[in-house]
Amino acid sequence: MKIATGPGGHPAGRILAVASGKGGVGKTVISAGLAHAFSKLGERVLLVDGDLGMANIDVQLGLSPDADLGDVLAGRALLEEAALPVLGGAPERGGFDVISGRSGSGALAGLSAQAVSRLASGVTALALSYDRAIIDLAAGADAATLRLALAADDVIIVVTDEPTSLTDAYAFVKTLRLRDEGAAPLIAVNNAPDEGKARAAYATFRKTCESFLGFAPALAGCVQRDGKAPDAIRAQQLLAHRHPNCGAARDIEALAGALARGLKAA
Amino acid sequence: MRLKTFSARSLTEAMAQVRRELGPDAVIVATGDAPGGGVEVRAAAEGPRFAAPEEPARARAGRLAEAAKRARGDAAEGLARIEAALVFHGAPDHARDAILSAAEAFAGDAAAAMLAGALEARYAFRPPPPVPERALLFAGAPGTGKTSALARSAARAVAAGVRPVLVSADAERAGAEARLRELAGRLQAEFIAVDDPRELEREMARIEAGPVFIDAPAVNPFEIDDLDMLAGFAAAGDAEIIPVLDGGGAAADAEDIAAMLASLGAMRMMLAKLDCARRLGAVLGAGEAGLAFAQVSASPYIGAGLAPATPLRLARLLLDERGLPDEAFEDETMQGDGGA
Repeated sequence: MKIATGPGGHPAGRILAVASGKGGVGKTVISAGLAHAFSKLGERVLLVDGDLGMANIDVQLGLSPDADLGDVLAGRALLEEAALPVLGGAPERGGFDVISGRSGSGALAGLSAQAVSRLASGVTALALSYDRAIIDLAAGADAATLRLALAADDVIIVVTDEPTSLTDAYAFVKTLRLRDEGAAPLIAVNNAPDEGKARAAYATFRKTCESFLGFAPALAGCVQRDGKAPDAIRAQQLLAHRHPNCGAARDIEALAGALARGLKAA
Repeated sequence: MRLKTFSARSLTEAMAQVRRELGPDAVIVATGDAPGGGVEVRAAAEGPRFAAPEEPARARAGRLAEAAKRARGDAAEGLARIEAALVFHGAPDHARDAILSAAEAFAGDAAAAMLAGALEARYAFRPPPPVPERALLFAGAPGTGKTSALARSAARAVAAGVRPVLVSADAERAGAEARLRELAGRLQAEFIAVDDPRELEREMARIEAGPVFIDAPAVNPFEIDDLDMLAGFAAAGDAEIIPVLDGGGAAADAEDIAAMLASLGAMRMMLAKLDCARRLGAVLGAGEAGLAFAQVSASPYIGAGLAPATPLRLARLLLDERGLPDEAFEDETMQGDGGA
């Protein structure tokens, strides 16, 4: 139960975990985009790189953090000390704080269950100083990723219309619900060529989950295929910052709006 | 999960492909037109296509049966055989230890006699007379065989030359009342149906002669409200509660259930469905709760009646070399003889 309230009167510290199953579906672009979009809605946002093996938020956003999760877990820094302001930081509209992982080293991959639990509690505690914390999870459904997902209030799974993405996302839903049968992750379809293809991909996914898991995940939103997204990644900038009015950035804002309104699984 | 896209000239053809490749439980998750004409079907299936048993069912049954016979100690003698049998049946540890030390006193006898002596020493055996003085209220969890046990007891009274009264107090379960009415008709017994203890009390005052057998509603023996209801019927009918227990249940559960019903004043119990089980630890578990053994039923046929529970009969049941699953296969023309 969260009883503290943020400045906007919303309950503070709501945690959103962004998962995918398969890698390379645009999870980090959407996580960072959501952080920016929630901030524009007036929330103070913390973005955490939860990809303990292959972290890359800092690379995508062109950041040079003084401390990262590796330092936190080694006891060299406090979690809040690793929070780096982006676009003016959490107090600014559009800005947010980022806690980076340790990119490319893979050093955090083999964390013990206890260490991951400590990290999850740390994020939960720190999230209370914000309106919302977003955890950009690793691809896959390993124990550490699931532990972080279970610590979240909302879980959103990013899928594309490719069969491999759908099967991996299905495996994630199934594994998550093996740990918590009440878990109701939401779906975001990314990179679909058009709205129809996106809805068809969601329909396929929903049908599969309904048939084999007896659970129908709700659609949180669709983010269109947009050539501006790879360009922003290459420029190491936030998509909404480099191409403020591109289609994908607008879709991510709509997705944030839907989540902020408290979309619930059907 | 396996996800696969199939294309074919027609939907029927595509569906046949889906079933062939993914099995009968595959789910169509999307359909559409194939680029070069025809249709495209995307289907998903969960789990392996076929169960792949490590060995064929019959071979497995045979192997397990051989192991079970060895475990049951069919080939052993004396105390060793009794111990092996008690382990096979899953008798509660405290019962096994006590029975074995009591059986030692009868060393030199055949195993059945040794075990009978030990059972006699540890448990009470009180089969009811064919024409009981007091009304009997048959109680138990759903499906334990209450109504069958009641009908068999009533048949015994008929055989002794009296006309019993069969009372159904089970107005809730569909068909329960109709079944007892049908059984009463066949026995040419009087039949009465009551809804609640008050009605039972009224009817009991009206009955002039004949032993009365009351079929209580099924109870959850761990639900206090159910037990209260049962006690209400027993008081209203001035009846002796006769717990009917499934002899094939878990030994520890049988002990708990018997103890719960003993707390209502039940003194002796009937053990049913002994023919449908191979491991009879529940029989000893129930005995551990302090209830006396009244009768045992080891046949699916009402006409076969109930056997009075005696130490020797129980001992033979426990040591019985009854057919295990593989033997059922050996005789393809097997008759439903009901075992012991």
